[in-house]
Amino acid sequence: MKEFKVLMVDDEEDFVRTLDERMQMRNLDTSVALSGEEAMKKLEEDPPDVLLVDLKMPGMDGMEVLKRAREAYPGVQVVMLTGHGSEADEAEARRLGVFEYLRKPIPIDQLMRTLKAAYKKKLEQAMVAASFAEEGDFESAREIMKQGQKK
Amino acid sequence: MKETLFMGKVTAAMTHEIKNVLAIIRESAGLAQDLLVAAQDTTFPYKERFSKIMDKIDTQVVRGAEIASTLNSFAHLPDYEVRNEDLNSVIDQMLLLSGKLSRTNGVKFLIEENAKSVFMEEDPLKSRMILYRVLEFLAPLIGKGSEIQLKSLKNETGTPLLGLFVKTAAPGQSVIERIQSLPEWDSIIQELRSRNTLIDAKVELNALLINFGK
Repeated sequence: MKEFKVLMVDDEEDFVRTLDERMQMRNLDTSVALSGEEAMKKLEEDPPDVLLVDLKMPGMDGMEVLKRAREAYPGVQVVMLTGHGSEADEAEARRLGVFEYLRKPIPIDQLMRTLKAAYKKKLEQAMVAASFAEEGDFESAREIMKQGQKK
Repeated sequence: MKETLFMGKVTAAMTHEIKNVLAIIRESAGLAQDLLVAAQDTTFPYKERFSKIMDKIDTQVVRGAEIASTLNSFAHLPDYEVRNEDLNSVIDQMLLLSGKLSRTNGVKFLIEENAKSVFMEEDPLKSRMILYRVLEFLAPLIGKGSEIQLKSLKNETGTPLLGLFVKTAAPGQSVIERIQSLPEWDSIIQELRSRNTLIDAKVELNALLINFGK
């Protein structure tokens, strides 16, 4: 059984397809989107546990994907992986609730650790929300889910 | 748009592209290595050699990424007319970007480990240009196998100084004294003065001290 679901979004096809293959060899259930628009479609069809997104892409960029994913799917953790990151971009991504902001090229082990930590965070958050819901406090449960990726 | 701003903008954009290329190389080499590990039972005679080559690619990717990051920061310098920064950052950045200069001349440029911060308000492009110019001047004159240690300092009035301490391959020889007698020495003094910068020779320390001025 695969560990958890990751949707990878990057317009550099050679990069993302190769990474996809490596992730699958590491027992992750992965899928690929080559644009922000395609990522939003895939999010709607089958939300992943973690979204790994590039920053600079033609059309909808990674920052916009992060923003929309945070609003519509607060349970999905978002990790940004970019070769274009400035300090201002990183600050903006953190403000929008990114789980982690990474720079290309990155060792696979570091990336795997980050994705696992993001998934752990998602599980913890879901468990806390469930315990509130069990007590009948649905408003708090919803709020926790909404807080999602905010650290 | 100023020419330097334009150059910086284009260069910075290219460094991002370089990082993307490096990321593809790293993942492709990584995948090849993953496949080799996955196929452990097969008898591939060059397994060990192949693995070493992949490690070498990874090391060079890391090196390339570091150069691209440094070049990116360098390309953003024209965004600032004046900046308050640690002199050690100037040294760090320029040493990485002057690797070719040191290799060509067979000399080493070294930075002091755990150096104390020395902040100065300066035109960041100018200070780097001057440091590079002085290294370019000094490197061919000190002899192969020699070292230049770069230190951030302050004089008695608190003015930041950049010291270049020369350790020659032939100990006992005062390179700085010899350099002072060369016609090029007067030229570099004049050149730096025109940029409001002073350079002072300290024969007893075998060093040059740069005062970047205002």
